Amino acid sequence: MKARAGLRQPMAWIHSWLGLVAGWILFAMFLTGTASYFRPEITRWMQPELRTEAAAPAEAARSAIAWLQANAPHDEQWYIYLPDDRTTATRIFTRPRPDSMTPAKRRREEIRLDPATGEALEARDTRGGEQFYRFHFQLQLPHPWGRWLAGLCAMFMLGAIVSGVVTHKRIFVDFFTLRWGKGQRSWLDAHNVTAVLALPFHAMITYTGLITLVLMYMPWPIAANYAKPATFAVEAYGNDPEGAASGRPARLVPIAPLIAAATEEWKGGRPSTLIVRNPDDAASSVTILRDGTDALNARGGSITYAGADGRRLAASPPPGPAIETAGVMLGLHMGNYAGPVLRWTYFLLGLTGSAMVATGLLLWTAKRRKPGATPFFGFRVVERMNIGALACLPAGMAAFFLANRLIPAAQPGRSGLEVSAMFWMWFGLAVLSLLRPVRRAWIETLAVAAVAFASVPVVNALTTDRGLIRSIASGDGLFVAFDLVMLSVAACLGFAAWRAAHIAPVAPRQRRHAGPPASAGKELADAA
Amino acid sequence: MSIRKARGGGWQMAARCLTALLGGYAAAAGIASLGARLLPIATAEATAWGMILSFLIFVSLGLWAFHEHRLTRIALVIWGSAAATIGAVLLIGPRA
Amino acid sequence: MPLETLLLGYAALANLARASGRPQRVADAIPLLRPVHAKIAGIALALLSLVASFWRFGAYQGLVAWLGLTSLAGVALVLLLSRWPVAALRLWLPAMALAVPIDLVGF
Repeated sequence: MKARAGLRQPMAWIHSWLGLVAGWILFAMFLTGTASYFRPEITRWMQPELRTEAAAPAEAARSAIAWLQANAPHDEQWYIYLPDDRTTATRIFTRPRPDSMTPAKRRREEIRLDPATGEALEARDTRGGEQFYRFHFQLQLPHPWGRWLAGLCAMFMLGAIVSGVVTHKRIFVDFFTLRWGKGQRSWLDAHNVTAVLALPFHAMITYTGLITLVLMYMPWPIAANYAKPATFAVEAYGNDPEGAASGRPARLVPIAPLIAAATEEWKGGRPSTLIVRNPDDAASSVTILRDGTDALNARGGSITYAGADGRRLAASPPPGPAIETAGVMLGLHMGNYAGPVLRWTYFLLGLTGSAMVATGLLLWTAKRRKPGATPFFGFRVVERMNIGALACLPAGMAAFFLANRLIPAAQPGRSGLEVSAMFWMWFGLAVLSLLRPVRRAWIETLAVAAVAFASVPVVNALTTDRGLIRSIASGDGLFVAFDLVMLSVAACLGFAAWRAAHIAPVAPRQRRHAGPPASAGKELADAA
Repeated sequence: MSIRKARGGGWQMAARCLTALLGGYAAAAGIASLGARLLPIATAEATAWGMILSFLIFVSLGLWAFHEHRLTRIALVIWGSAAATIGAVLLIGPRA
Repeated sequence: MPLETLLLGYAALANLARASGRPQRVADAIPLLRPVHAKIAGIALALLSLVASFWRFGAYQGLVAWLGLTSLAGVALVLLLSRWPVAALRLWLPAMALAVPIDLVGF
């Protein structure tokens, strides 16, 4: 065992530093990523005036094409994202033909349609679930720095997972051990339990997260093999027909038979997206992308038809083992394949991951707290940063939801204001907490976050006609679930604030390792 | 902080961190690229395997840099393999 | 509701926890099984939950779903164990018994 002991010490050391350096960003990535499991649901909640019903893909495609033929017949490309069980609106955007006025092939703004009627939907301007999703890997920084920073943190996470497993002496003996109210010991238990029990999830989500942006982080194998990098995408995912327009006008064939043909070829696989090129031309093409939700692979493949006569032109090649592996990794990370039960499972495991990061950060301070002595500078910084990240970020997320209901629906630039509300709450609360002693700061920021979450259902009921009671009466599962999650999160944060207030560091001079002020209840709350 | 002492002082630690982070990335990129270039399977497949496995190489090298005591040995292995593999890839050139 | 994997996973882990004898005083509170039997029962239930997962989620998602749901069952078990150790371990029997009927509840 000597070799292992020799391995363990440096690994424990690097584990704590990797975790400390990246911890706060990782916590934010975990929490917003977890929320992103419900990206379309959050968007729907944030536009309560919309009540679209899902429609069959063929029907949605037909109504979208009718709208586009009436409103953008001469654009070069149409993108149509068909609705599914979770996103009930059809999303479309187009790219105009390049001309002297618009030299670059800029995409026009996205429009959403009611799939049943084909009419454009009008609703309040919001970023919706997209905000957490984008923040999760771009960190609200300018491109490409946010993505690089997120990648660096993910790499630190991977290093922390591997070194953590090596460090852990009795990984299976401590499997079920969680002792409350014992200061540092409790934080270690909580960190171990949240890490080890969900280890497959943590390892999967970290590695697959790196894979989602692999083309940016590690493009070098492509450069080593291909003189022109674009060739790789063509070989891996099939040729994108970039045929030039012929100049002879023609009309598209009806879309329903093409969708039926594609569905048959995929043995029942659903179409997710249509890309129509040169829709008004004899050389038009319709590419149908397959929805990845019935397999783990996020890249479902595609078939291209000629738009003028419906001939099948091309299809993406069946993926080889490596391309399939990469696609499955992407699918596992995004979780789009997951039905309701699995989706909630991953949501809760994501919270467990957030709790793992949070308890790790709190363990760092718990280990280094010396009763009676004046804490060193770095310790105080970490303590304050912990408050700013672990308690103030949840408050910011609640503020984002509240702002959505409180800013008037017609206010110009309101989607930006919602985002500002999130960050003002997050960083503002963190700065204000500096004015208070550490123990009070924990209690008060957690309490503020709890109140903010608890007020979301209240404000929702006051400002919309879709409050909790009405939603229950009308069987609106999404709005009921949203309110219940808000209340549960508020309860967990409130519980944490209560623990922080009542589990005092009992006479620090007498105990060798006094617990941090917010004691063992915190891991629950940080999960929330 | 005994480990820090055993591993040399400030500058040595900085060199170790830089080697692990930048050198580790360069070596991972080089090894993955060379592997992708030489693997005798379909080009796209070899490329994808290289990209998928590169992070595993990176994390192994990075952690090893903190396990091994001798800084010169770390620098030699990591920067050396980075230079060798990247040089080899450049020398061979892309597949036809 | 497709929760049989979760419930069987809970029952399996509760038995394994009892077999590991970690919460020493507590372990004896389970009347039904001795540690050796608990280990066998735990492994059997884990296999059963794996089968249930493949049956429910299909060949593609079976393993992924099983890992996720079993992890979640573990988190629930550990939280319960830390507060109500005896009840948490005893809960394995109702969890197992509920696995089939909860399937039939439509949602």
